[in-house]
Amino acid sequence: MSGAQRVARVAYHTYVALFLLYLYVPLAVVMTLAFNANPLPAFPWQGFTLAWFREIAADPFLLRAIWNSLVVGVGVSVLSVTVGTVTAFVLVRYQFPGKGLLYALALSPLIMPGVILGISMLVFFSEIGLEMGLATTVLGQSSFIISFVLLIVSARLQKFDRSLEEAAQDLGATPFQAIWRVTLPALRPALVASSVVAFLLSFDNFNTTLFLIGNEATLPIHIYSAVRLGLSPKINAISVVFIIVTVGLGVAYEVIRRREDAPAA
Amino acid sequence: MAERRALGLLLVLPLLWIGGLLAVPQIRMLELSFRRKLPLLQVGGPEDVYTVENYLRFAENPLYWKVFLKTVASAVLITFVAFLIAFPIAYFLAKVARGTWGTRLFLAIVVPFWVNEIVRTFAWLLILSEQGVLNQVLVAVGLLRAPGSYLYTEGAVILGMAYAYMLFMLFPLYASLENLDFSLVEAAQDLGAGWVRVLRHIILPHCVPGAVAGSIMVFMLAVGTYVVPAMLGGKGAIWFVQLIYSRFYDALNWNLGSAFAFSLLVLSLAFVGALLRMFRLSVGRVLQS
Repeated sequence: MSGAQRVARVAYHTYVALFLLYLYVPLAVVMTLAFNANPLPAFPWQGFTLAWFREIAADPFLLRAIWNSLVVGVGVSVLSVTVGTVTAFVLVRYQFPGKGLLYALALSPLIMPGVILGISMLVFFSEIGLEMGLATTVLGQSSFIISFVLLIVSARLQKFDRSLEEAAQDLGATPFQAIWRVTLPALRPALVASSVVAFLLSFDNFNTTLFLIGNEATLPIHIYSAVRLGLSPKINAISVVFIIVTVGLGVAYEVIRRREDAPAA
Repeated sequence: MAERRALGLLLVLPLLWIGGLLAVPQIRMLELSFRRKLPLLQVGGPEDVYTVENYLRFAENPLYWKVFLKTVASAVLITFVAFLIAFPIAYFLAKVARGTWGTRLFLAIVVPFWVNEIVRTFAWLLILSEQGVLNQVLVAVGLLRAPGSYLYTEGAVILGMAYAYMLFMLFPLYASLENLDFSLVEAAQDLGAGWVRVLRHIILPHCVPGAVAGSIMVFMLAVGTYVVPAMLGGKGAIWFVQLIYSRFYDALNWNLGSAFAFSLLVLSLAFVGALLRMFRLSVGRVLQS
């Protein structure tokens, strides 16, 4: 290796290292200050404390927001995986007029800002007399999360060997039984992965939720209002909890996806 | 026949989704944007006619369209910066880092990807504020005598967004670089091509679908964000979604708000369309990456 090449190599590795620092230093600041006894979320370090985490447990509004996020996340997960899977079956297995249009519309939320989805549903739901709250939030988030599920499930469904289903029917299963007993189990990794993704996208969502949540709050909405009220290390503590939940689920998803990418048995 | 009936039954859910959550709401929003804001009793009366007033107000008031243009221009800038910063990392991840070490690096970069936008923005709030980390470091090192203020500026907002959305550019780029056949690069080098030519004629063309997918993601997020400017920009730097939000919740003028929202939607779709045309790609091709 020539001298110039060696310099380039070192420079490249340094760049990657700096990028990692750029990614992690801000997060490290947030997390460190969650354990700092200083009543402002700032340095200097005034000693280790868990007091800010204890404050979380004593805050009924925050606990309610976390609970709401869980409820909405599960609701979105169930609704999105159901509708997304059915849509995947329709688009992968059937030919019908207007299919191209349906496909385009089904993927359109992926290229739209989330606030637009939220605003349009705020307008429509108010017109038909729905009150904004958790239910409207579930519907609103699902509007685009279904598209993600559709992508994941249809990719898997395309790879599925249909002759297995036909074999089941030859052996006396009804079409419904064949799908329930043969096809769905084969899709399981995709269904699990898309449930996790749906929950995560829901748990993370702010833009669409902002317009549809009414007087309730999800965790991201609560954090945002808390920041507006004033900085406190309690927000850091909430952030730590938030990071643990989403990163945990995100890594779980990544593991499932990698297993899924490996040749299916 | 049974096949048709099954299809009819299966179509119920997708049509409810697309109709009830996407098409009809957006048509209602569009319609609202072409009507006047009227007192409740006059809604549906003779005054309630279709008009382009709301769009005219948008075009006539520089306060509105300047914010709109600034938001769009900044989103383009952020997208471009994200590409410049992320490209070498994506390439490193796809082609340089190998084996367990590569997997670990990938994991190290994917973990922050799952951290919420609000938490990431909050991090920059803590860094940039007057008692923040940046000031403390600069003062401690002696570069600064008195702490300065970086928050509530356009620069802070742009910095925060670039940070929050960087990884949405990195991963699609990585995905498209990963399936680049490295023997092409070697062949070009054997034939005497320098790295600039290899980059220009082999690597960059190969990662176009990923770059376009990443650009669409970053642009959408940047143009549609409420949180980042609200937290880092404050009153000093208002962005377009905040204008929309305040039409709905402060001014209570949903008609004007809908006109703003629809303008943003048209702009976003135009951006996607322009990118796809420029690189002769289809949405389907891009979504695969």
